[in-house]
Amino acid sequence: MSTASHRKRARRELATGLLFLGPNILGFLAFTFLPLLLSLALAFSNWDLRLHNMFRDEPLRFVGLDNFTRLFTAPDFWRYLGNTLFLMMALPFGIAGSLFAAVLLSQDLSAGSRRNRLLLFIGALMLAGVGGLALLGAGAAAMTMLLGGVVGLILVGGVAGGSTVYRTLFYMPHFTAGVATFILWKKLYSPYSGPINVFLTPVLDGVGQAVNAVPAPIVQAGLWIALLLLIALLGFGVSRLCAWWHEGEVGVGGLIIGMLFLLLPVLSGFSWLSVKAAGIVLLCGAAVAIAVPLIRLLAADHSFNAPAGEGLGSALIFSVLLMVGQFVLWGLSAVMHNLPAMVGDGGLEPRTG
Amino acid sequence: MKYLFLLVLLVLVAAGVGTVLTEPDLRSEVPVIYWATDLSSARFRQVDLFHQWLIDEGHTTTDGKPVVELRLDLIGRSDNSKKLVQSVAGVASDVMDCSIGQMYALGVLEDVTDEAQALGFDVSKTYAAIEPELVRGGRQYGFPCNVSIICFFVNTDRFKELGVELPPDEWDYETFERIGRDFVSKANPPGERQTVFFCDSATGWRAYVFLVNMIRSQGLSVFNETMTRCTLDDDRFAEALSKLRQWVYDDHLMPSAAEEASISAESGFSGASLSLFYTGRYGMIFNGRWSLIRLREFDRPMQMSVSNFPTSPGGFANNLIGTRGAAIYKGSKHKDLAALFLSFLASEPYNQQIVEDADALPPNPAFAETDAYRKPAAYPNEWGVHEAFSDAATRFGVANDESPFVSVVTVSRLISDGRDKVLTDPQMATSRDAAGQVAAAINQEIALSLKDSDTRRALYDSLSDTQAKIDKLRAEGKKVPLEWITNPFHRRYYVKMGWAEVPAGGEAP
Repeated sequence: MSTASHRKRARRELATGLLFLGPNILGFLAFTFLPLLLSLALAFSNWDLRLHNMFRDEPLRFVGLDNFTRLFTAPDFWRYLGNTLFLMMALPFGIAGSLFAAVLLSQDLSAGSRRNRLLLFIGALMLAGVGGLALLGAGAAAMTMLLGGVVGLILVGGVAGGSTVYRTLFYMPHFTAGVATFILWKKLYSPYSGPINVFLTPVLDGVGQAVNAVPAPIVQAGLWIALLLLIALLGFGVSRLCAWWHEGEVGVGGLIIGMLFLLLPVLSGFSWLSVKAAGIVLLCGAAVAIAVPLIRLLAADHSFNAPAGEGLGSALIFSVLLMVGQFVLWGLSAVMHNLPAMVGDGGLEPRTG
Repeated sequence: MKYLFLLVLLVLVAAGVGTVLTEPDLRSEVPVIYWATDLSSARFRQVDLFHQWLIDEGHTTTDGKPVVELRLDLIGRSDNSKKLVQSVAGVASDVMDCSIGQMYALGVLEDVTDEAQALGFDVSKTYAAIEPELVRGGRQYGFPCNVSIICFFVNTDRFKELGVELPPDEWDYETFERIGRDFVSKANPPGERQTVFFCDSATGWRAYVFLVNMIRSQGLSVFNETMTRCTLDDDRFAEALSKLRQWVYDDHLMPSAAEEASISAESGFSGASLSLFYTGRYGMIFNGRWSLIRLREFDRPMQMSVSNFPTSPGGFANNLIGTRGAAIYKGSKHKDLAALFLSFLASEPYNQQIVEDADALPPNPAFAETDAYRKPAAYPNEWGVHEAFSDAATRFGVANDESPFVSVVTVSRLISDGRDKVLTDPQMATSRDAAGQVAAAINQEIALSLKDSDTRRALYDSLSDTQAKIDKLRAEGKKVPLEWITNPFHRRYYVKMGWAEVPAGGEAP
């Protein structure tokens, strides 16, 4: 086939492909991309529905960064941002959980021996017994036992019946009525009789007693441990990124962006710290954790140059994962620092009102 | 394969065009107007009534058919975005149920003052207290589909069963707390988790009404007399927030958000409150006459009474009155025909239907004087309930104070934020701090709105001058000319306190 006819055919195929993709591309442009661009432009203007519509003739004015200044200086903005970041932590945990579940579901865990079937029967009997207790009014304790029984039954069922049992159970919520799922979760989270609070109450009581038994400075030392771990995580992340850059696996873009993500918890945490000495330790530790790998990197011979965007995805995933870990440490350190005061205020009681 | 896809596409396009061309609903021999309203089966009956009313009133074509066909554009009760977007884009329905203040601020409503006079739906045909909702700058922009006022429904059977004194028609906080504490202590066995409450916790718009009624009873309003400044940075607002917290967390008269969530999984129109009220878990619910629509669906008719909102001791008895107003879209091609629909809202057939359906109060108060309204033959258990609402509207109703410089939606959201802070966690903000923060946020919105509009700035300057004169007269202990005051609450309150110079002829505040 000649080159000309080959090109002609390629063009025709491209045109056909675009024709089929056209509706989707047009939809994306009309309903996602253009509104996004327009929103971005409007963010720098004084656009107000009350002033700028087809029945009004007030001129649209460029206001620079005024809208952003208002946003960042709003009294509740940082609280809302903190809440959002906190909730976003569920994302990496959710992804990791999904991956873990997928790996588990792909394993064959069956062990169809007679012994296991016997265990299954005993589990069912226990479940029926607990269900009976719940019906007879044993209340919250029975709910917890019932939940424990169900979990036990699932485990035994999986061992006896293999991964098919797990896969079926895992997919079950998709056919369950939304209302039933909703009621189930409400019951689980019920502040008075839900098994989660029933389970948490003795745990928190125990923690409260333990905290009360130990002098407050010892508990608050958790802050320092968390700080050291945080610096160690930062150092580990920076040294790994530097090593990857040195070996040509990551370009300069991945190196810089990855380091920015790793530094974010340190910088934001520095502004939260109320203990002055902890701030100084954090700053010094972070400086050392960054300086040491960088000095080593400069001293070494850098012979594998990678393009700037090389390995950006890997660097992002790695640094975001470590960043989440750092934020979790921040949360734990704050809890440890405030724990003695919280126990004193009765703050470890599960919230019921 | 690609030819097959292309063929399928062509067939789909042809089928689509065919469907549009043959759709009977899209063809009409007379002009069609659309009414953007909420989802309710009553709307379909109202459309039929309108068509019949047109025939009865002689608004017909030469062959005796109605001159206009009304069609519904049904929108969820809480979804305002569709109306907003369509209005500013020029494609909204001819008639819209809306917050007239909010839509007026967008400039999308048609002035109907002259049509209202000619067709008999001027403001004299509805409750006097609702006039500020319909009129802007002396011009009328709509007419009520119904009028709403919220009171406490009382489950009298439950009170009698517990041996608790029945809430009176009018009361103050002290009586409210005394009866409430007695009710919850008798209804909940000692040592057990509380599952019965004196009343429901008002949420959403009802929470706003609840708080506004509280501060108004102490003589405070959201805005000053000319509505140029928010006045909530005041101890009286802080006291109202503290009182609310006391009722929820100290006296346990109302459930907290967590308690409310844990005692029922039900949701829907008015949430679970009505079911819990019916079953006696709530002794009272704070709601409008429209609650009867659902209460009538329960198997057993329940005995009820109605109490107005309590006042602070010696305070000013009041109740926020509102409306689901209908207005004509400025971009409508059939404004004259849409005006006929507004005229229909003032007519007997429409008002009678509101009376029968118990969909809040009929727009025309004359229809709340009839036996059909006060003593519906099918519901003898409701006798005494209906007139409580119409009487409350007439005696205590005061419209919301809607400043022309900030949206009522923004104001209610900011007030709700302050309330939530105090109710959720007092460590987040004390009542006094929350009061200051709410006022500062609303005043910041006012300042912002002045930056971009010379018209608004001129109005603000003019009203601020008037406000300075009012403040001066008040400081000197002199009376203030009533026409200077634009805030509907202050107009009423100034007259009540004898602070106003009422014009000769005694203009109704």
